[in-house]
Amino acid sequence: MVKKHKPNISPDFAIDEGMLMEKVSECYQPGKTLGNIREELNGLETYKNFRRARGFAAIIERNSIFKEKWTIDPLALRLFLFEQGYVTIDKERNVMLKKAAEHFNVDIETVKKDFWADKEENHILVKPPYLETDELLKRYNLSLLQTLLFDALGLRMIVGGNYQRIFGTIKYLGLMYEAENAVDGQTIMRVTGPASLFKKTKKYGTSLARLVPYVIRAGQWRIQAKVETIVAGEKRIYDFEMDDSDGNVFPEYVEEESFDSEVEREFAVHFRSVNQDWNLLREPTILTSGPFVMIPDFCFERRGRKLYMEIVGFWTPEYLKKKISKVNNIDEKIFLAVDKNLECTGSEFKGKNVDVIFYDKKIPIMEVVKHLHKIEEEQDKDELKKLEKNGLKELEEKEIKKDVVSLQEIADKKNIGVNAVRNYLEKRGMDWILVGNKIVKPHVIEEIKRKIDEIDDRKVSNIKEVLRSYNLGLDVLEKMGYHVIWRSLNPDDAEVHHI
Amino acid sequence: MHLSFYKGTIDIRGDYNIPNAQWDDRSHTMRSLAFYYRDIIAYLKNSGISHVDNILKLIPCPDLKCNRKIELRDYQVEALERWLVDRRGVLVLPTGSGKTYIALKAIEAVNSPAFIVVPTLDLVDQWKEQLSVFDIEIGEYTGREKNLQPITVSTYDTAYNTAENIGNKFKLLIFDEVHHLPSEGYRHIAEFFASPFRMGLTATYEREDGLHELFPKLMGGKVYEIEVDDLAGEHLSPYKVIKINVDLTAEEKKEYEKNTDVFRNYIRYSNIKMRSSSDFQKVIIRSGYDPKAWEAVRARNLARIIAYNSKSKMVELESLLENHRGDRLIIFTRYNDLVYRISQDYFIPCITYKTDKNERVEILNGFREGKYPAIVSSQVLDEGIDVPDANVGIIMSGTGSNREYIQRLGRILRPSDKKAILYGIVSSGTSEIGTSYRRKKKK
Repeated sequence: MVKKHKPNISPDFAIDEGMLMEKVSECYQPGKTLGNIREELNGLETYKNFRRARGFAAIIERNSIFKEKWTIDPLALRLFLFEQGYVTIDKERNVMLKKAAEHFNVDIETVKKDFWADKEENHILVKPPYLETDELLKRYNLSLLQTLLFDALGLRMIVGGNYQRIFGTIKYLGLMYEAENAVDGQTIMRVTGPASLFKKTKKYGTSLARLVPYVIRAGQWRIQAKVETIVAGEKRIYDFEMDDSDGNVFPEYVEEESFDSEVEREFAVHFRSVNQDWNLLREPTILTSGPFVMIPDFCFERRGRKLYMEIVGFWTPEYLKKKISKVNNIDEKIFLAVDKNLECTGSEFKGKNVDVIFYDKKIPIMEVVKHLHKIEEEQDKDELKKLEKNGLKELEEKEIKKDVVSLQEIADKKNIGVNAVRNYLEKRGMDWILVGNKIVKPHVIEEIKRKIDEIDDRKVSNIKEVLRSYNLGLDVLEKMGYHVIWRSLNPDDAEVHHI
Repeated sequence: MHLSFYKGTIDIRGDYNIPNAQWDDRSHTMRSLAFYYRDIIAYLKNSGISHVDNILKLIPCPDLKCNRKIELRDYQVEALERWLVDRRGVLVLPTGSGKTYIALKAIEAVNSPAFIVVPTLDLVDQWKEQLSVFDIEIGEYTGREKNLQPITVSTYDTAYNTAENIGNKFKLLIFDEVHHLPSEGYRHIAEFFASPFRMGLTATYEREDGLHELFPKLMGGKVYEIEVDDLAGEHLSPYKVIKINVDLTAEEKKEYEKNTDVFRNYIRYSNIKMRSSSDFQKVIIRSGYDPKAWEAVRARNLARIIAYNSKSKMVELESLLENHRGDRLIIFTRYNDLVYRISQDYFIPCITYKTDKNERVEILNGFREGKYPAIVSSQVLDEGIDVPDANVGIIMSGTGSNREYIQRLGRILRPSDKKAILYGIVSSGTSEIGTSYRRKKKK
């Protein structure tokens, strides 16, 4: 159902038609046959509402459950009768019916009734849909829009979110796109299929329609499409346009097809369990590289430093080379994780580029960590340089003169890493001992040693108390020449000895 | 130059301009439709341009050899030889003339992966059975199964939906009932496949919409044709056509007239001139907003149903069934409702597009073995289903399409020792006469 006003076309959405939807719904009473329901629907139809009524019925049927009901298996019954040869007069026919009734041990009426009991129109409605009228209308509207787009030659859309889903779906459906950033942080995309280059074709209409549920969940969206339609017996191309201000005609929740791969999910879980220094983000932004746009699958973030990772499915060496040259044009750091089993060609990929890791089934966490480590080192160096250039503030200078200094605190204050602070202080050559992320003045170490040696009962729990008063942990003991002998997990059983 | 397959197209990188290719701003490469593959490679070779051809990724394939000798008839040999000249083109042969055997020989000659596209699942089954002479697992790529093998059979619908993903895996592409191919959607199959070798098989090259003009481009044009008349008597059994006019019963006639009057009055009142089916489309479109048009369309449909389902026709059918006891009959009708009614009234096994596969196989086998003397069907048996030895056909209803007529005829013209008869039962004084008349004139 569409409305056409040259040059525009749009679905004729059902909005105030709850009454009709309810009337149609009422035809779907459990226990009725599909044939009866359709007859009843036929009686409801007028010239004004018949298309609507049929559309509503289709939505209801899609969400209902029908079942066959019979006493004799209809197929066995038919084959039995067919085998007797055909009949042309009633007398013969009745003889056959009786024969079948005797054979299957039922009455003649049952034979007549069950002959076609497996035919669709004799199926019985078991479960009508448990959906509100309003929800049925909204689902109907979404399917109207999708039906319109079956005849679309291409789709232009402006979206403000849900990128990963949208681009993932485009990729999955084998469509192609051109994208550019719009001023207000939204993205403009033109989606077509490979062969759209040569001719206007509706071939990709069904694929474009499958994109719609993701687009309407982008928060801000606008869809524009060229739609082929017949006007007065001739093919014409009309324009369709719609945006989120009319989004309330659609259902809020739409079942999603999941394109998210097992590989990606597994990687995210695994990575978070082994590495806490980096944040792993799953909905990163769009990166632009000249005319190209990339939407990496993952973003690793550490104090503002970002590294992107894109997972490459099917590929050819050519495709990878092109991708890498794209990557090199992007200001951001990005690397590719390539499934080596999904190579489309036999020839080998010989690029020596460090920005590619190959994987088999699982993305190797250690390879990823190696990539991250390079960035960590770089970042540490940069931070050290910055620190050396700017020095410490007066308060911080006072802070480091304390007996025990937490490097972490200083690092947090300066929004840099512990490594940079440590390297900086080491370079200044002050006299202290480094314990974990803390520095301790030598005279404090001596003082603690004295206190420990005064204790007779060298149980760990006793020593711990001493250390706590200096804001230190057990790790300082090794640095002071002590050794903890654990006998069980109970600190009362462990003792501290000189090495 | 570097060429690779991308979703039914060819991605071309390099500095030369290539015929039939175009610059694609989306990928920054040149691109062409896959079916130009053969032309593009020929051009590159002739021009001495060095290139890497990464387009075909053929399914690994053993030597394809039939496990028994297939003896071709002289016209089949001729057809095959003509095709082998360029390994492209459409062969036009009447239904029942053994088109499949020519295809088997062609597959053997090409000896490379082959993809066969057919209109229905029945034909898929039938082709798979015939292809078993190659002694390898035959693949099926349809809505019910997706299994790619060196020789794979598919339907037009599934091939249309998936051509962009499998279009570079086969060297030989065969279309059975190829007259379906030029339609706007199915055309994409031929375009998205890179397969350099192509064979089309049909009994009717011409299409009423003129789209057969596309064959030279998509398939390589008509390379061989032989008419029914050239074969009748020699390889196909002779046949007789008998038309039977029946009158509607008085009651039916009254109802029929009443409904046709409603329709006629509307046409007169609305000033629409009924010259072709597109004029009728106009009335349908109007029925969306004009209550009178809606009534008219409803009335016309009712009238048609009365004419197609006339009790007199059933009486006539009964007497034909009686007269042909001992013969092998196939009854055609257009409406599924009528098929089910005939099946239940006379206990004749039936096949419609809704019939479950197992039941269909049982019925066709039973008919073949003589367990069932008759079958009744709607349009699914129209094309190439291997139903042997039927010698009586009865058409209860039908449209005026030229193609449909020949193929329905062909079904009964299978070689057999009995003379073939085709009956057409038509209600006189109804618009059906018009349909039937149009049909005859065309032949």
